[in-house]
Amino acid sequence: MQLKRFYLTFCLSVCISLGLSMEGCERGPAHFNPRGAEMNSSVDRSSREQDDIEQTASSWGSDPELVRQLTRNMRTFPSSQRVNDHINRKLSPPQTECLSTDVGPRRTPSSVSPTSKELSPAAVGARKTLATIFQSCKAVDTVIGPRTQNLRGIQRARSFGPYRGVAGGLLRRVSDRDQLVSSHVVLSQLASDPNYPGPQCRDMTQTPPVYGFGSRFGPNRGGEINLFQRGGGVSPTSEPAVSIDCSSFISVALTNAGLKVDPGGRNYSDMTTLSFHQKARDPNSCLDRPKMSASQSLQSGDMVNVSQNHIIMIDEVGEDPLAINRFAESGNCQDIRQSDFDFTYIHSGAYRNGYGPSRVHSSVRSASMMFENLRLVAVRTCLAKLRGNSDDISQDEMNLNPRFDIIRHNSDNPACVSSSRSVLRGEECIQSCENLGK
Amino acid sequence: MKNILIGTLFTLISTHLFAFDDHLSCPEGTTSQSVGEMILDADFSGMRYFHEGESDCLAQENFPHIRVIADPPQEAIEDYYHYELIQRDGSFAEVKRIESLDSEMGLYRIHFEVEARSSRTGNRSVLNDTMTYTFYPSERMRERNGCGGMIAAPNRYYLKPSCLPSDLED
Repeated sequence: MQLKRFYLTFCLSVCISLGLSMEGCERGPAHFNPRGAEMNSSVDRSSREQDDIEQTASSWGSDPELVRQLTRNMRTFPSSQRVNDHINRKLSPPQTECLSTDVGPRRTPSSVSPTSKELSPAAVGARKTLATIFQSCKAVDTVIGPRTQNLRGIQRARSFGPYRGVAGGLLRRVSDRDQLVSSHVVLSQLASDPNYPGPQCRDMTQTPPVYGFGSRFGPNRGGEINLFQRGGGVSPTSEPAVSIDCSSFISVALTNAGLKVDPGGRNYSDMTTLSFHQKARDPNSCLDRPKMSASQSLQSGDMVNVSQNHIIMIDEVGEDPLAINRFAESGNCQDIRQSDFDFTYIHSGAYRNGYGPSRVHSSVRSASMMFENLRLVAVRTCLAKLRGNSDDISQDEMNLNPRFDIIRHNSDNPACVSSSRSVLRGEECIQSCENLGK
Repeated sequence: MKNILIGTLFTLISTHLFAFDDHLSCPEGTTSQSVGEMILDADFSGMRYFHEGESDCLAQENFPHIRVIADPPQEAIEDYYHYELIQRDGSFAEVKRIESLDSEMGLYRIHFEVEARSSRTGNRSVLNDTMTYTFYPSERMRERNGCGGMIAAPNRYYLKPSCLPSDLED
C-alpha cells in the first residue's frame, strides 16, 4: 500500500513537472510553443536548456541534481519527503534562478528583453530584409529554436537532370509546396492567417523562401533589389520558390540600412564571407573587429563570420549574451556552453533542411566551428574578468580560428552611412511593422 | 497486475527521462591526440562537406565522444571539392605531431599527412595539413558535450571512400 502511494506521488510529480515545464523555467515574455516547434520570443532563456541535463531537468521542471538522483540506477527512488519538496517547490511562486549552483552558475533574474529601439541599424536592416522576403512582420516575431522541425517538401542534390549546383554545391528543389508551407514555422502561420497577404503584399506561401547555395542578388540600375527570384541555388525544375545565400543576405541587409562597407564606396557592396573577413582587417573600411570585455561583448548588429563558411547577423542580445558575467561570478568560466548564450541572430542558412532567411535562437546547434570559436571568446573574456582584468581583449589575442571574426559596422562614422539606401522590392508591404526598429 | 502497471509506469517514465538526454561522454584516459583523431575522423566523414541529414556517415551514434554538427559552407566557394582519402597501413591519416597552443583553454593543433586523390583533377598526392581543436579542460563540459570540438578546419575537404557524395545525379 505504501509502495502504491509512493508511485502515485511519484507519477503525480512527473505530471505536474511536465505540465509546468511548458511554461519555461524563468517567466519571460514568451515561451516555447507547446506544439513543440517554433519560439515566439525575443530572447527566450528557457530554450538554453537544450539537449543536456538541464534540458532533462527543464522538461521535468526540476533541478538537474534531482533528476540525476531520480534516475541513478533506477532502483533507488527519492524519499517521499524529497518528492513532496519537489512538488512544493514547483507549486511555489516562480524563482529567479533555475539551476542549482552545483551544476552551473546561478542565473541572474530574467534580463529585460531588448526592444526594437535597442537594435543597431545593421540589425534593423536584417529585420527589414527578413520581413520583406516573407512579406510579413511575423517572420521577425518567429524564432527558430532547438525543437523546430526540419522542412519537408524540399529536395536537394548536387544536380537535377542537366542542372548542377553552383560551384559543386547542393541544388534545391521544392517538390511539394504544401508540405513545405505546413512544415515551415513562418509560412504555416501565414497560410492560416486570413489577413495574409496584407495590402501591397505578395503571397509568399506561393513562392516559399528557402536557402539557396549561390543565390545572390544586388540592386538594379534604379537601386532596387529584387529578392523575389529563384536564384542559382534552386533548380529550374523546382516549384516556384525564392532563395538567397548567407553573405548575399547580409550584404542586402547592410545596404538596406544605408550602411556602406567602404567610406568612399558605393552604398552597396556584394560581399562574401571571404571579403567580409578581408574588409574587417582593412583599417580603411567601415568594418571593425571589436575588442571584447565582460561589459562589452556581443552587440546587436555584430556579424559573426567564418570566412568561406558562414556569416550571421546578431539581432537581439540579452543582458549577458555570452554568459560571461554569470559564469565569472560562479568561477566556472570553462563550463560556458553554446546553450548558455542569450541572443538571436538573423541569417540565410541551410539549417533544418534549408530554411534560408530566418531568425534563430543562439541555442540552436548549427555552424559548429563558428559557435566553438564564439565559446572561446566567451571563456577567455570570462577568465579575464575572473582575474580582475578589465582590459578589453582583442580578437587577435584569443587564439581563434584565423578565419573567424566578430565584425562590427562603424555606423557612427558619417562616411560609413549612405544618404541613399538600396530599396527592396516589396518593402512597402512591411512599413507598418512595429518590430523593425526606428 | 499491480506489477505490470508499475512496470509500465516505470518504463514510460524512464523512456521520457532519457528521450531528451543526448549527453556525450569523454572516457577517462583520453589524450589530446585521441581527441584530435576523433575530430579528424568526423571531418573525414564529411562534417564540413555534407549538410545535416545528407550523409549516413555523420550519424551521431558513430561518434560517441564528440558532437557532430554538419557545418558545410553556406555560400558558393571556389574550393568546394574534395579529396578522396587513400588508406595507408590501415589508417587514413598519419599524425605527425600534436602542438599545444594554450593549455588553459585546451587548444591543440594536430599536424597530419594523408594520401588522397583530388576529385577535381583525379591526381593522387601526399598532402600535409593541420586542424586546430579544443580538448575541453572542464570535466563538466566533457560529461555533457564530449571531449572537444573543431576550432580551425584543415585547408581541404577530405572524405573517406565510404563517405563520398552519392547524389551526384537526381
